[in-house]
Amino acid sequence: MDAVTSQEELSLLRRAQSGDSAAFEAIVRAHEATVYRLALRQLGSREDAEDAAQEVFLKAYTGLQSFRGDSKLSVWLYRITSNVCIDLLRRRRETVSLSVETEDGGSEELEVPDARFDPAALAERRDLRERIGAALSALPPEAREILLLRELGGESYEEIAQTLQLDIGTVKSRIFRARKKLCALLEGNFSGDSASKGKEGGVRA
Amino acid sequence: MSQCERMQELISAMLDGELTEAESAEVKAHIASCADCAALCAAFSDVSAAIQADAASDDLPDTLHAGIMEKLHAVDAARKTQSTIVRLRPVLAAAACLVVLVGTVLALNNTLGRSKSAEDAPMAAAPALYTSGGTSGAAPAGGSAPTAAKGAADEGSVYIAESKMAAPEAAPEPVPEPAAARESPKEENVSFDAAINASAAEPVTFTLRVTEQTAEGNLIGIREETGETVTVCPPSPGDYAPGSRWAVTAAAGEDAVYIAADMVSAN
Repeated sequence: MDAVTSQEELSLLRRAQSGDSAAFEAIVRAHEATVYRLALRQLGSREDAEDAAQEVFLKAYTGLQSFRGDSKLSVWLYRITSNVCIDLLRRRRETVSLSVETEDGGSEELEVPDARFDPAALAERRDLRERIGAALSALPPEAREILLLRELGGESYEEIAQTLQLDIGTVKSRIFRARKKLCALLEGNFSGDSASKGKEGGVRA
Repeated sequence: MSQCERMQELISAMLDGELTEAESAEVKAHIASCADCAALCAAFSDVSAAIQADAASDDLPDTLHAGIMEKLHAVDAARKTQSTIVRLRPVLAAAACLVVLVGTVLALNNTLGRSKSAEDAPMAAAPALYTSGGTSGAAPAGGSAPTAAKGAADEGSVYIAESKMAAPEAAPEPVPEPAAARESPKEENVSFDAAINASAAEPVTFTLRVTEQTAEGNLIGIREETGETVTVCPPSPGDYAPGSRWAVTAAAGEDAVYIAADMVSAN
């Protein structure tokens, strides 16, 4: 991505819009890694992230004519990515439910949080880098997403504002709160229901 | 500690490079004298670095790029096989939608209601030149193997006429297709030129390499099989980029000419 300047990118876009499929492929190459990484952390599984990435570029490809080039290409792509991930998260439950046999021979559903978030594992892993993934997965999706757009997408507050269609003040405070929450998780401070009983994986503030 | 609260959000923004020089200086001054805020700044900074490092160490799946491109190619393939067939109204206004070969006009029978894929009509395949008349293609014009003059359209007919039809006298009676004749009894055959025998049952296809698209949306291009210049009215408004290649099919329909164009390649 670093090799592509915004001028070059605009020209690639124009060519792609007039049917140059090689130009579109170049756009894919420039952004697929970041889109994948964003999706990976939003969704938690490599398979889902790959599916999401395919969906993002498919939507970009079929909706190409609707992008006027008045914002950065990445802003547009990340917005699509955000929507695709939100859809996927909504469609699938964030928890798994187990059927547990009860003593009288019946069964009941037990909601357990997604295995991605394991507070014990979180505590065990010393290395911050190892723990950061688990902690991120414990953030509420909105907080996680905005932080990822900043850290992985490299977007400025202005760009994030365009991507998520928020105002800059909101962007600034949400990022701040996401970081605070993350730090709290890393220090082992949990708020709300304890995770083992919680209905949803992670901590809700 | 409201000042610290205010500062903390600024610390976050400063780490993101979103503050002015003056604002940064103010924050840094505060940090120098406040242990809590200094700790927060360090924690935020570590967390940022960890997130980025963690992501940088991601193994991208080998299949990532290929998987994406495959999805896109599938879209293209689906688009290609979708022939947009547009019914040309058999009225004079439709004269703009003629397939014109080498500056001549070909007559195309509009009967039979054949779609592209229909092969069941055992039409006599004699090349014929005729003009179809009327909206239901009723009046047989077979007898008169006319050399249709350019632009001389019968009222209500759509035609593509070829002035140098081979042996028009041999192609006389329109052979009515009993089974298929719904409203129009006469069925005749279509040819683009002497070299191609096409029956109404078999559409004629040729590959068009677009050289330009006119303001009205017509395509001018080279018919690859013969090198002739061809003008085609495309079935749907679209971006037929110069250099793109299209398989153009003309078929006789019930009372109209059907033209379909499928993209073969974009360049």
